[in-house]
Amino acid sequence: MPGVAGYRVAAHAELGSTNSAALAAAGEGDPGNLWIVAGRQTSGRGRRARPWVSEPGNLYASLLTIDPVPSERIGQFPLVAALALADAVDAMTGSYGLVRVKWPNDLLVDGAKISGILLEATMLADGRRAVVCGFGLNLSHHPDLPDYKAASLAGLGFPVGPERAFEALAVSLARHMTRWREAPFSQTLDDWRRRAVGIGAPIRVRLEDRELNGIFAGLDPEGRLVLETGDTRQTIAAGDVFFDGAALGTAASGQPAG
Amino acid sequence: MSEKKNQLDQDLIRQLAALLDETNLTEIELERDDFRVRVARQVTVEAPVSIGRAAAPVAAAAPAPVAPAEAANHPGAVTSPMVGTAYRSPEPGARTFVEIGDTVAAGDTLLIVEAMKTMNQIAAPRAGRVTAIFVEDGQPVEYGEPLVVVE
Repeated sequence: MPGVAGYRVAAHAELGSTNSAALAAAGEGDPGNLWIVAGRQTSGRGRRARPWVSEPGNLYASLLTIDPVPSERIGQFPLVAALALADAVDAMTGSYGLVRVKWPNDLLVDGAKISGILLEATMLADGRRAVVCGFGLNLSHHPDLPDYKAASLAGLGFPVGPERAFEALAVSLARHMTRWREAPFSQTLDDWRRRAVGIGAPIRVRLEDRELNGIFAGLDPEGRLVLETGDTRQTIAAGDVFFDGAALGTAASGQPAG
Repeated sequence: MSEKKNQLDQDLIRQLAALLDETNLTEIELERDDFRVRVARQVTVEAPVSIGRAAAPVAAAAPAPVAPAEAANHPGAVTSPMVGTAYRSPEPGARTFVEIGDTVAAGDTLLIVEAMKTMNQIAAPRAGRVTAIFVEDGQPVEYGEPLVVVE
């Protein structure tokens, strides 16, 4: 697998989970900036251990970082990762602006989800924090799920192999990580907003214990979702966002943010 | 707790909350005999209203003796490194990472705190026995809030 200066790549034909392998590497003292890539995952997973179908042909890659930014900024990572993947998809398909982002880190093409991002972190024994950002990108196939629409790049007319896809992602994420570390976060936010679906539209946010309805007013400076309900504004750091399908003109209704 | 006592508690908390605002403190803890109350607020720069327990200055106040407040000072307490949602099992309906009475090794995952879609594994800082668990699955937690005691 080709890589990018400053990053190492460990490619495997098959792994249980690239995220688990990256976390394990951190526990064994890896200094970070390590990509773990697998042709196939035997126990791929998404948020809250939802299984992630991981047959060959799609991209499964996780980046291990150690303290990528000061800890109070870690919450911005999902937006950085989503934007980096969106830029990478643009580059690998040559179709700029193909992909839109759904808060905080889903990629949609015509309302259909084409990827999943899973961020996991753990504190190491020496007090540093390992943060693993795992990407699953539907290149040649996608799961058929009853509750939301999914798509693959091949199905959309863009045949891209995993190796080419990884190269584009590695280049894009390296660029976005550098900007995240060195430039004001507002630059990332501006780019994210340009690709965002649903800003200004009615949404439903499912929290752990209840649901809120309101207007997706935008993002706060940390990238949290600002929900307008009547004349109050609430800031939401975590939750599954559902759009009213009609508001988007797509069939994206009822799609969990994963 | 009697209604009258409850009212007194509420009044006290209101007074403490007012004091909190007045003094610009972030936390007041009061202990008197067997009664302990802690009033705290999350200071956020932006968020006009934020979700979870950080909603209002008095949101973190508990109207009763607060066991976790004592636990925070327990030498074996493992506290939350961030504001987020605690999960006690790797997936809904699955076995919990730990239960009271379990023996854990240093580095074992005790629970997960999710913040901004990042699943943070909270590991045991030392080997020992789990003697208390203060959070339920899916519960919002504050920075520094005690989660588990390992001794």
